[in-house]
Amino acid sequence: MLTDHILSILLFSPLLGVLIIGVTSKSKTPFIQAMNVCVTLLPIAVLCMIWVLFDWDTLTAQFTAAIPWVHLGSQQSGFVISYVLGVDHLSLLLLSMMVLLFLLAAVLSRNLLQHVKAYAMILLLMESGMLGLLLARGLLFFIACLAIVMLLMFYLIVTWGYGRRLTAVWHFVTYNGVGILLLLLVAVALFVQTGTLNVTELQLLHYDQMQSLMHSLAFRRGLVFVLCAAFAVMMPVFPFHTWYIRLHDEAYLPVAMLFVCAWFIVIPYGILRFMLAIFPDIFADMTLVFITLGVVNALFAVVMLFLQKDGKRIVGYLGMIQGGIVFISFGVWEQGHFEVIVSLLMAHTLLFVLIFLFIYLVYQVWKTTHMHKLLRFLKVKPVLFIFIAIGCLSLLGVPGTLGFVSQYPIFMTAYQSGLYIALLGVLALVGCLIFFIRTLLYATSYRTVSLAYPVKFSVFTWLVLLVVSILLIGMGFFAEDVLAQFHLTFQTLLVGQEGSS
Amino acid sequence: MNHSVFWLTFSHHMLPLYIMLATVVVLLLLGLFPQKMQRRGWLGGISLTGIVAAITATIWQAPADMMLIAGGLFRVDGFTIGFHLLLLISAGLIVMLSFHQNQWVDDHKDQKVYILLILSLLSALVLTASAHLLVLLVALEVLSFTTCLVVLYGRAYASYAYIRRYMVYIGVASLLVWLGAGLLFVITGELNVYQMIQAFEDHNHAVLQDHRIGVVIAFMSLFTGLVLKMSFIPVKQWAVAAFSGHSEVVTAYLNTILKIAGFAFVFRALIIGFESVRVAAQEATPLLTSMTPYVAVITAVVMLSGHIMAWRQRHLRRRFVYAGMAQSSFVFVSFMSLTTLTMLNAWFYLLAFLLLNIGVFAIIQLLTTQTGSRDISVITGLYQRSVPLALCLSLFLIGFMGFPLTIGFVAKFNILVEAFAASHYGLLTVMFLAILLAAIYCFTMLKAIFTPADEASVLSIVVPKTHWFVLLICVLGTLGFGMFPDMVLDVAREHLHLTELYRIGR
Repeated sequence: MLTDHILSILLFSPLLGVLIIGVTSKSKTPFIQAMNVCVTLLPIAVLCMIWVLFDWDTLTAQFTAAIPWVHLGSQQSGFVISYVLGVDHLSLLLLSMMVLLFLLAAVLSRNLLQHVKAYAMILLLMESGMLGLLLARGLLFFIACLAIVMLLMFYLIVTWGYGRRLTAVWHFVTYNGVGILLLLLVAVALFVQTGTLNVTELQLLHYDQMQSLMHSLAFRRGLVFVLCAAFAVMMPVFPFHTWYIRLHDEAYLPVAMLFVCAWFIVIPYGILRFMLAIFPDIFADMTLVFITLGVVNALFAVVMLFLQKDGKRIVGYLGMIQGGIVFISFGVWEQGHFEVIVSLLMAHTLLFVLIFLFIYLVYQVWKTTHMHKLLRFLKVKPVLFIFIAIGCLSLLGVPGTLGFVSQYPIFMTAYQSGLYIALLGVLALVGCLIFFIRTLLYATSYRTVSLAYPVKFSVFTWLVLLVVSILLIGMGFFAEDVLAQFHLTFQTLLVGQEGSS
Repeated sequence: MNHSVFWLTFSHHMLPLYIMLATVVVLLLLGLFPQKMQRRGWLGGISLTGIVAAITATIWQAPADMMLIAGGLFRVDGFTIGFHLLLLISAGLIVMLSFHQNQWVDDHKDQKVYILLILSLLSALVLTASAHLLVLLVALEVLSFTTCLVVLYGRAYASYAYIRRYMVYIGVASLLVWLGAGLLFVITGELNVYQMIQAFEDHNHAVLQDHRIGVVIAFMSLFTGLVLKMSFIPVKQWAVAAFSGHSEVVTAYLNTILKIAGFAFVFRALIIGFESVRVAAQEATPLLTSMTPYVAVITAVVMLSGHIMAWRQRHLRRRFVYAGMAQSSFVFVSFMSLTTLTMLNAWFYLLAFLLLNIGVFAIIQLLTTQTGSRDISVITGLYQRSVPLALCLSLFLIGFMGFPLTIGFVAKFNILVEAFAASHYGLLTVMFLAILLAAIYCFTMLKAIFTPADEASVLSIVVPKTHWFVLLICVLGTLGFGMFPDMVLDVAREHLHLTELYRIGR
């Protein structure tokens, strides 16, 4: 009984907080802040139960819940869109990262002064939306959650953003709106041709009927092309990246951290779940497309990196480099260990949490995110230097860090299978290396800054910094063992085919 | 029972029509009574009672099967019942809005406006309950005539130039419709639409082949006339300015009822489009298929230009009249697709349209009457004045965008699926563009609603009880049917046999 509904409970648990906060008076700010943090613990608790109940040997989706949602035509015609949830190895790990991110964002938002009630409600609604994205086993539900997250982000940027938020929000809405519409187009096409949007059913269809239903290869290629365009706009990839950079600039810092990290989990997950799983054969043909996109993205971003003066923008371009590497890893997936992508996503999220936290701490004290101020802050709190250095080492893929475990196999595989163009991605990493050595050298050359008052961080801040750093290094040593668990993950992605072939 | 002798024999399946007729008569008779009995409370109360009674009658007296009444002059089938419900529900909601219209026309014109509105509702009901070209055309003319008169009663700020332009365009539309109908009569010798189809078949389509140019011209002029009648052509603001020249209630009324009635006429009269005809030298295809480019171009133009005009407008009501134009033209795509889902999708889309449209106009009415401004800027900072209103308006706006979990999404998705199934890829692209355009101005307004306004202009808005009721229905419909669309779709599939439209019966 519980296992039937546990995913729905997980999905809707943040809404309980929305209800409670909704009936609270606007003036009770401390209560709302506390409630916001407490309610984000609720999905964590539910997720812990799922971890306990999860059967690690099962490859297919577990705890699936499927309820018919809309019937088109007559009841018998079989044209039905269902509300389907499910969780497998991959989504379980990503879900865990997601709920922790929301806890972090809720804690960091404690200093917010205006419209606290609305902010807390939107944040919790967004948690529901993001969880929905990772739980969705139907394309239409995925699109619905994307649209909801987009709408909520729109409000978060417009209301709590910084100076030039209006330009930022238009870029954000336009690019993502186009992305969502393209996804919708694919959904319509798939639905007309197959009569279902459920991923598991589409996978099963693939070998049995797909050939007859989706008659031409060209048609399926077209669908994959549109999907690819949609995800590339949302990821974002080189010519479409302006919204992403502006969002870093203008969104309220905890929101920017939350969104960027969550987006980086959700969009690659969408690519794996809805592109790779449904069209594995065409996905395999697109090796060069992915690698080219990834390399261009990474190289462009690394050039831009050197021109930036603002800490938030630097994070943005670092994100693009990481995005490029994820695309390269999509390109070489057939030859390599695909579970590497999991560690890549994890490394990226941890790194971003680290850097954003640092920027946030400086912003709290000095109200600026300018590069030189950030570096000067390292002189105020030299101990932060260690954490930043760990982050940089992981980004560069130095052996012994999570970054090494996640990036080395990708380039190794690319080299072995003769996809030399992918190795250009290494150039981007070298660029990063130069950039960081240069910046950190600047930092050491500054005179020591003494502030009139001592800067103190909360226990929570230290805890997050410590946990993130330990994970970044520790996972570097134990990743092989941990990832071995997830070796099954990518079989689950493709299990539909194996089940039928 | 011989229908043809007493063609007005009382048939209880026509009960909604009789009830509305009685309502008009009562409203007229009210003129004999002292002035104080002609207040809005009385007039609106009587109209509302009539409409509620008619809705009840429609549901209770719905025939299990198709009924031909008065020798085929009237035809009550599932299609009729479905569209009667749409028309009556929207009329009921709008009459409820009229109770608290502050700046209505002068007091002594109240009665006339109510009579005209109910009369136009009656003619719209007749329009959907007939398949006889003469009845259809007379009903359409009464509908146009009453709307023209209502527009004439408009307050001073719609200049007479607009009203004159409106009349000219409506007149041209009438001429085109009559031309098309006349041609069809000449070619087939029949007046009943279904008997025309029968005639085509009896002659083994020979008639069609001999007169294919005539049939094509008839189809085109009928379609063009109807598109004009439904005020779909956004040139020179002819309909928009005339509609918004009156009180908000009338704008909402014309914007909703005219569209729904017009679509009923399109589906009923242009069913001949489903007949196979050899237009070119190739094999016979349904007439509509060969007319597709024509219909598609008009639809695409209306969709795109309507949205662009709406985007450029700063007059709040005109923006939504344009938006309504562009939004409801999605139904034409469904009309063209010719699948078994067409009727259900169109009906559901119109239901979504009426809920969203009336909801938006209820809020616009409150805003413009209480602030005295018709500019788009009145919605700035709406959340400071009334949080529930701000949330309602945001909900309707995202519904118009076709946002997931609202009724707009399901309605649009159904039509998109249908268009894809029918391989109208060009139109599909246009529809996506239209959705994007709609998203642009809807997001602008969403932003404005939650942008704080100057402190000086913040006045809280008084929302009367009837408005709350209308908003509640619209919100419940938008969200409820959006999240659980099967609630209404199942009922429609089981109890409303909309596809009876296609049934040829004598």
